[in-house]
Amino acid sequence: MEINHKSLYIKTTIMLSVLTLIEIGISYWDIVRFYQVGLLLTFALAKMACVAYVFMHLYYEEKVLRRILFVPIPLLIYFLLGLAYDAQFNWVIQ
Amino acid sequence: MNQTLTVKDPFGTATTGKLAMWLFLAMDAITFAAILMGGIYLRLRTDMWGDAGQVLNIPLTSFNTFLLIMSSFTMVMALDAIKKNDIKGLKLFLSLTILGGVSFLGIQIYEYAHFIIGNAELGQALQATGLKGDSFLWTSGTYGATFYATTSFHGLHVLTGVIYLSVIFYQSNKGMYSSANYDRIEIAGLFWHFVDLVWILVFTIIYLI
Repeated sequence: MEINHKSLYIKTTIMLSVLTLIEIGISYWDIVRFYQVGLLLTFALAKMACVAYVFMHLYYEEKVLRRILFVPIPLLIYFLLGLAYDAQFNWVIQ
Repeated sequence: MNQTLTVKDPFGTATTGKLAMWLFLAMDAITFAAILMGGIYLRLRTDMWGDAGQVLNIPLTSFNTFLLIMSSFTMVMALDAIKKNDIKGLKLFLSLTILGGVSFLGIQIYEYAHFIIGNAELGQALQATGLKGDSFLWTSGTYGATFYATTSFHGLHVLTGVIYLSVIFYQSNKGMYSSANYDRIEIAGLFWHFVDLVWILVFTIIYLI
């Protein structure tokens, strides 16, 4: 039997719009920069997960496909941390 | 004696075309990640960077974000329609998705034109970030270079998506698709949703942080 996903798609669209509004609010909110960036990235990742799982139907795919797609993420975080550390220094070539 | 061997496909019902698109998207995501990480690295090394809303127009870009979210919704509805063999619904939702993409590009061109032409107000905002001139160009420090490199690369993806969906629309007009044959629509949809997914991150990192 074919499942009607229309209401799920509508709910996801509304949720994405609301999360975007909250994100915009956070960007103008005068709080500690670390928390602001952390909150914004958390909301962005939540929105991305919604798009991937609901709109791209990743939820219905096999586990192995999901694993292939999520393997690069820890690698990206590792590179990002490395770059953030490196940005503190001024390298001089002698 | 005949024996039946049951082999479970590790990729389930995903077609080869769909798998190929997923692999392409994984590679494309790494390219976007490299551009964004490069931008973050440059930002950490300079003070000449605008705060949220200082140089970039957040309300206008927020509207663009809503446009992409809505176009993702219409795209998934197009797929839903063809699954029910509703050709009229498919054409309607596909055309709305294309319209969303074209509108997004129109607003992005307007934003670029505003920055390139420049004005005194923009000049003041740029001065506050330590940049000179009345125009915000790709030569306006690492900030300008990062902004244009990231948003134009994404804009190119939107343009590709609009062309891709226009071809799908043309084919649906020719009666190529039905409830038994909609794999290409699903694959095109994956690309379009990916464009939306990446914009979420671009919008957060470039405009809001």
